[in-house]
Amino acid sequence: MKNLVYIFIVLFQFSFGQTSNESAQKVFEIANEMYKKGDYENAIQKYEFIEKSLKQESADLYFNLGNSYYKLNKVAPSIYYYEKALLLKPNDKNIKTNLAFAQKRTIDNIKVINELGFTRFIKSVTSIFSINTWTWLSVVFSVLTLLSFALFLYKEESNVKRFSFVSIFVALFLVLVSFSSANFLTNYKKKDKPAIVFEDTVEVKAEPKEDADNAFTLHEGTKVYVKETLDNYKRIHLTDKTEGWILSSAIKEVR
Amino acid sequence: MKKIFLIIAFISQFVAFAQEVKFEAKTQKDAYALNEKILLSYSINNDGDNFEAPKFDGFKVEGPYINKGNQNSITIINGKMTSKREIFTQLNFVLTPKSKGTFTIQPATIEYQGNVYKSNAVVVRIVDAVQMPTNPNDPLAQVGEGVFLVADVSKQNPYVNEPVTVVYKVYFDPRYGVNNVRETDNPAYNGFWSQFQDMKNLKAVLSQYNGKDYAMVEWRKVILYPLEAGSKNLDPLTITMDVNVPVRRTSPFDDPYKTVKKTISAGARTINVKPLPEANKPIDFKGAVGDFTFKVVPSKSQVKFGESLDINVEVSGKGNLKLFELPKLEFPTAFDVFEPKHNEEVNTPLSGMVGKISDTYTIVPQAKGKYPIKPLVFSYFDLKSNSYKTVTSDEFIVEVIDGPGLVTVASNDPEKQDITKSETFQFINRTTNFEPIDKPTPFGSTLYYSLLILPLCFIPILFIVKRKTDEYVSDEHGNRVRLNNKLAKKYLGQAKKELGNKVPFYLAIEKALHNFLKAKLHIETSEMDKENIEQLLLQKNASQESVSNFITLMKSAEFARYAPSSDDTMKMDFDKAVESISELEKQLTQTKSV
Repeated sequence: MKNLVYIFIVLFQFSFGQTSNESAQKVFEIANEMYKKGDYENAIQKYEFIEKSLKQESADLYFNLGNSYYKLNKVAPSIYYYEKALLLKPNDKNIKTNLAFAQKRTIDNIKVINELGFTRFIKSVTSIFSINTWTWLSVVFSVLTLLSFALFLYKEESNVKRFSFVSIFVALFLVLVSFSSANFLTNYKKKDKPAIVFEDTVEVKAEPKEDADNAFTLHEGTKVYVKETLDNYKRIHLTDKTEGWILSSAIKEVR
Repeated sequence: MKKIFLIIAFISQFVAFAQEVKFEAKTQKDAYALNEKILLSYSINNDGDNFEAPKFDGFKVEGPYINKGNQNSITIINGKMTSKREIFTQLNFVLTPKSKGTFTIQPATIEYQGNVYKSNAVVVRIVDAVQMPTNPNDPLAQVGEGVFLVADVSKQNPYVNEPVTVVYKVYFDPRYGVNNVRETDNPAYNGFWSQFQDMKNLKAVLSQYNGKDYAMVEWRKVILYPLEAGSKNLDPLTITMDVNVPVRRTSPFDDPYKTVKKTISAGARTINVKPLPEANKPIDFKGAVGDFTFKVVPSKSQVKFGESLDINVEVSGKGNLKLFELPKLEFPTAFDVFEPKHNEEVNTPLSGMVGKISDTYTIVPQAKGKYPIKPLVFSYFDLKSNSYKTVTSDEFIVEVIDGPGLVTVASNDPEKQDITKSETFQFINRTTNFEPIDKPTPFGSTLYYSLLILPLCFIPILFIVKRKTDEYVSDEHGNRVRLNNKLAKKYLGQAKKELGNKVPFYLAIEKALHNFLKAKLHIETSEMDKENIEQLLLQKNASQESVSNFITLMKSAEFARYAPSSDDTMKMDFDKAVESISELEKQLTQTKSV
């Protein structure tokens, strides 16, 4: 009986997912038309309907939202959505271009201090694919390892044997790479919490208290990373590694 | 120990007696009026050196005037004459009190024959000024009534940064002549921003004061802006002048005027400065108090790439213009911004500062595009309505035209793609694939791990299977047996098909039987004579009956090929062959297992 209920729920979810996906597509097209006509407010409304009510997302949706806000001269939301889009498609050139346009409108110019060579290398390698792609790739490579091994065992031709022998190790290596990439990204996702400043001007405090000293001032659209939360304050650090406490309401976390 | 103490006590008493040095401080009265002078005298009944006066805090000091003398006294008592000579020194100070209150003048010290003597401390009380007894014939006394200074303070309880004007006016009897006026004490106005109004030509005007006619001269006007809340003391302004007083002439040659030097002061006042109300105080309030207009004006709304643009932030109106900061304009990173030029055009008439202050920002755009400049907020306290007012400038957009697009972003991040000149703002993406938000990631799920591990687990299995097959293949004897077994079955099957065709049927039966024997007895076709077979079968514990059946079958198969036979016999022979093979098989395998 219990199983039946589960099956019913799964089926229901599946069918529901299908319909909301389809309606999301329809709304997306309508919103695109509005954007084309220059009706950015309504386009935003429609795009956000997809995100908030239909619970559907895609890098393109966030990209278009970013564009609409950019057209309305709203700096913080446009950067927020571009960053959101970049999380789904970390290497998309269009998103990066328009994000750079939006960042030109921000007031803070904060240096970006990079991680050291190795971490940066790991990041650039793992960011080629998304977590899910890496996950499935590891399964694919695992199967490929098995196939190469089978080939190696059962084929007598020396060429094939040599090739398959090498490919066993290559595939096995790739299993490890894709698995650890997926693992790295999963952990990174937990740790890395980018956020965008939404207030026009906000004082960052040295301590999580209202009467604490002001460490520095941030303006709308600046990207920060959240480290921890205490009451209604969040400890953040900037791209140049400066740290401070900011009111939670002044920023919006991208993830 | 006790003895020594006693001796010391005795000696000191003795010394005290012998010397009898008296050093004391004295004033004539305990209480003085503020406008009185205090004569303080220190006297010692001997010579003294190194007199050290105390600090006279709160007094203006003149002196010391030293007065030395000696005194001879001759006393005759009952015809006995004693003569005594006394020396005394007196040091006099003349103190002028500066303010009311009770003051303690600390003891002074003096040295005499190596000993240091200390005077007593004097307590003096300074009370309100009193009317000095006047001598009607003294011109100075006459002047005291006829010349005075008045300070008009416009407000007693101003707000912080609310202008207060103080006008110092000299009133004097029109019959008097006043000249050579100078300020002797200039107030510092602590806690105020102050500006003097220059009085270029002093003009005496007829004016009334307390119902009497006087000539009045506005000596000085001061505008004060209180800088902080609290009660603030205004120091008095003191001026000294020569007054020509008409006097009664005793002879025609006398000068009809007598010149008197007169010092008057006024304006010692306490002003209670009210703080600005805290309620509804805007966060961005920077201390502007008055009535202002605020605007932010760019010199143009479109600018060519590389050209500069001026943006003027201006506050104009009436109020403490010089005493607050203008709100700072902030620009997108797409602009190079220079330090703003501050410009003040402020006049300060008696009513307070009027004019405008402005900051001019020069910005140079670095990239093409439309850039919104955030509106600026300026708040001030309006004295008319006693409330805060906030003015927000309009947001405006600076459009940079003719530029080469986005020039390279000054970014030191190699991961971020630097934007090349040709790139423009990208249009929206028209197609997409939606995925539900918060879709569970397969990574980490049991399904994922089993999918990942399963193929890898197959590797050893595959390996073992391969080993087994290899063994199987390499086992020649077994293979042959299996092959013959297989062939036996195959030929038996063939025989079944050929049922009715005599020759191929019996050939197949024979082949089947032969192969069966090969498999079971591990012999070659050449060794296959009937006796041998019988022997071997029996050796393998096959029953006599089935062995003979088998042999008969073999024989009959051989014969039948050359003899006529019906379908029925063929059928019978086939059944027989199947039966005997299975029977033998059973028996042989039984023995094997036993």
